[in-house]
Amino acid sequence: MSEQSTGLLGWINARFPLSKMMREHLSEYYAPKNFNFWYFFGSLALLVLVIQILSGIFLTMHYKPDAALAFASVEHIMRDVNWGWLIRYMHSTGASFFFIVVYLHMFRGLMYGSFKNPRELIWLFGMLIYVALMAEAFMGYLLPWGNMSYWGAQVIINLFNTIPFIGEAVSEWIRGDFVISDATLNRFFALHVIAVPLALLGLIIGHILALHEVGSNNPDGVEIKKTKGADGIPLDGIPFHPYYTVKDILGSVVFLAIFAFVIFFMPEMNGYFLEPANFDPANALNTPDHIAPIWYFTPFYTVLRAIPDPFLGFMMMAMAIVVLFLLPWIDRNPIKSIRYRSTLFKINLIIFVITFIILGYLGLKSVTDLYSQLALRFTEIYFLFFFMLWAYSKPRSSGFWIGSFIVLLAGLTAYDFLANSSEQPSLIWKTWVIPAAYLFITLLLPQFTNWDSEKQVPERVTS
Amino acid sequence: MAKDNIDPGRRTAITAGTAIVGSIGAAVATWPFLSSMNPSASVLAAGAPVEVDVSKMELGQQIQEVWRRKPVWIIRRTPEMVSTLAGLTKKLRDPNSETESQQPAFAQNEFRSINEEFLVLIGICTHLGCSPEFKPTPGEVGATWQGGFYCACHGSRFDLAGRVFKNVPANKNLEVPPYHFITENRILIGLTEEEASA
Amino acid sequence: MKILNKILFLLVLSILTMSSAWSASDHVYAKNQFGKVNIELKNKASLQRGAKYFVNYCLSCHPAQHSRYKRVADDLRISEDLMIDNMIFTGQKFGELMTVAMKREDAQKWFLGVDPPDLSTHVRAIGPQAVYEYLKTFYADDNRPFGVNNLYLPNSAMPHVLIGLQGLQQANFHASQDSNGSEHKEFEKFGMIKQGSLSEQEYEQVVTDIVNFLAYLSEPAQLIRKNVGVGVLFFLGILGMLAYFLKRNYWQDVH
Repeated sequence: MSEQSTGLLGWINARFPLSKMMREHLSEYYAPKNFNFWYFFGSLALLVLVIQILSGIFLTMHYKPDAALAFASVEHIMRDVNWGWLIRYMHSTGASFFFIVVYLHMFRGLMYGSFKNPRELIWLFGMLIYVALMAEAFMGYLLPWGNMSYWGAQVIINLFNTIPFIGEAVSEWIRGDFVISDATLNRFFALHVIAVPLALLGLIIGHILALHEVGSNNPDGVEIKKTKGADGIPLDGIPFHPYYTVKDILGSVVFLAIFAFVIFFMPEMNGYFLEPANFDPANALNTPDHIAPIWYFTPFYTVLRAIPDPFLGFMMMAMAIVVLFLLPWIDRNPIKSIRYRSTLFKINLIIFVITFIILGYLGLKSVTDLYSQLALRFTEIYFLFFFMLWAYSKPRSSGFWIGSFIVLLAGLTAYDFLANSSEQPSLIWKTWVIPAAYLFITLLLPQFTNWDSEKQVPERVTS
Repeated sequence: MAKDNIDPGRRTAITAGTAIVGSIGAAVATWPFLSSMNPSASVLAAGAPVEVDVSKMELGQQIQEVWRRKPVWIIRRTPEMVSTLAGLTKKLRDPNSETESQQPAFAQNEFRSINEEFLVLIGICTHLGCSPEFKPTPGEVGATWQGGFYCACHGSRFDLAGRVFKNVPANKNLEVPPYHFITENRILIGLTEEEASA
Repeated sequence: MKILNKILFLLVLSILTMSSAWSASDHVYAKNQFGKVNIELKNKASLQRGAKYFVNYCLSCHPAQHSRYKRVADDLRISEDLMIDNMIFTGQKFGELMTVAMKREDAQKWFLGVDPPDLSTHVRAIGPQAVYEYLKTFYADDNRPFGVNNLYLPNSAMPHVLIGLQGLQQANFHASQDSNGSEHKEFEKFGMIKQGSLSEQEYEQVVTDIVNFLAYLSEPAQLIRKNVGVGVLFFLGILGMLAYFLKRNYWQDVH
């Protein structure tokens, strides 16, 4: 392999590893040939990042980060700035699409075991990116200074009050004031426009470098580097460029068509992407009827609300994210891909997805007795999912299954007696069935069926 | 991986076609972003023409308006003021207003205005941008002074048609903005007669 | 497995697109009891009439401070002279924002501490249907400072500005018990106490025109947004086809 050494390219190559990087990361980065639909979302996430940065830069040319001027400046963009409405919709739609893409990208990781050895660091970088993205979106949402912006930020920052001893000081430090105010807006602007984007860029570079160091996983969970040809190239690998560049171009165009459809025909997405209450300016004296975070935060908001004690609820919400960081050390089963895992594993994962969606839905609704109990039950299942992942890491004895079932069921029943309360006590017992059924399915069914049996993982990729 | 049966011509053609259409799309997509940097409707509104009613102006009086955030002077010249203009030719750098950038076509005359009586000028010194003072009284600025504008920053002088004197730091006549008379007593600063009727 | 994933994906998509984040508030009348407003943004005549009613009846108290007269004139094809002569009463210039002269402190004093909301954005927060119902459900109520109350927004601080056109209605309620046994009143129907200058049909048209205009005002870009979108999707369709053939061409190498 010789680098081009003549001409302009040669001049550059003598001073900068341009061709070397192009080879290492594109034309000689061998990726498995069996990538499927779920493997589009990484490159799509990069695409959405570029869209957000570009649209964000041009919005910043007209936006005014001052509590007295911000709301009007957004309307100025929508009405007075040439094509301002389009740039604004790109940015607001892009924010929601970023989370759709990232959630699907993370789900791919769950399905195919992409977080397992040797890819733990890729997963950790990814989780840090996810947390940074949530911070970026939260701060970005304050900027239009609408009534939902104001009150949403007020409620969430007030959560920090619940930290013992230092809580109020922390909240004041974050806000720069006693309530959400111009001081808060200015600093959120600074963080949203430059600080977090820089952090995101660094983390994404780390994420991709860590990936390229070990090589990509694939839907079969088979390590393609184990079977190389005489030339040292994995037999099941194909160069990323041109095969995946060309496939990702197609994926991007399809994505852009869906993106464009939303932007031009339904940018508000029925009030989920652009919330109606946010078209009224921030009013410290008038809370909207119903404060809910934007849809991509609602699953965690439900976990927060499910626990009556404010600080414990806050901790639980944080744990819901922390537990994801620990995934590589929870699921230790050597089989990576869902294709060769047990039926129970598949059922467990499907239930997790349904649980996450239900938690999200509940977070959009006002609190009622029934919803409150359901929120608790599905929060229980959310965390129990990770227990099951650990449990399914290796073959277990009957004693283990039965013992776990008894301990866990007793534990959550004890919680019901000690800490759960409702206006309608019968709801508690009616909804108790939900986690009980979940535990029965995931822990006791192995006793009666062979649903815990796993398949043989092939040596080579299949499709 | 079999590369034997590909038709290289076809591959190149599709690649080129996709690249071309993609580039067109990318170019078109940059347009809204670039266009957003043009003056917005609020800026254009602020820069809109300004109407001035001069019916109450006294002879020899100067009033100041703002157009596009610049000071614009309207001076109602007396016949004496107008009569000083012809004799100054030798002392002026550009007596016939030959530098086209400094006035619309209709002001390329000895009065530098539509009619003798009213003079409309942008009140910014053509040297480095200070705002000169109106000094209409003969002798106000030196013995031979017959009236005009004097810029205190670096000493530039202009006559009662805004024409710049020789041997002063400024080298261009004061700028005349586009304007026209809507009625006998109303001046619209910002548009010439042709532009307004277009 | 793949099928189930796709089902779940479609489920989320359908929740997003078919349900709505708009919170339903409870009214004493049934949903759509007064009809659904027919928004026709392409109906320039309706928008122009709506603009005329808006500046005559609403703009004295409700600002539209993010909208410019010139933009409204250009979008609705009203000439500059016509607009300046008939629709700008305050001496403002054609390019200026549609603000009101009323000071906030005064507004709050006159209207029970409530600031008349800015109508260029408030309509986007509550939706055109809400404004439609609001304008149609004023009725006589001697207990209120302006002598009227409203079914959509009970104890509204606004007088019935259009009373001269619609006339004064009387609301007939009947008491009813809900499932918890608590009593509340339910709306039955309106009766006309004093007829205004317009018939019911004519007033309906006036309200529709105003709401149509306000729907436009809440987002002027709507007038071109969908058309641009069609062009973009058409282009992406072509690019997509080319990209597909390109992908297929390269991937025939891979087995």
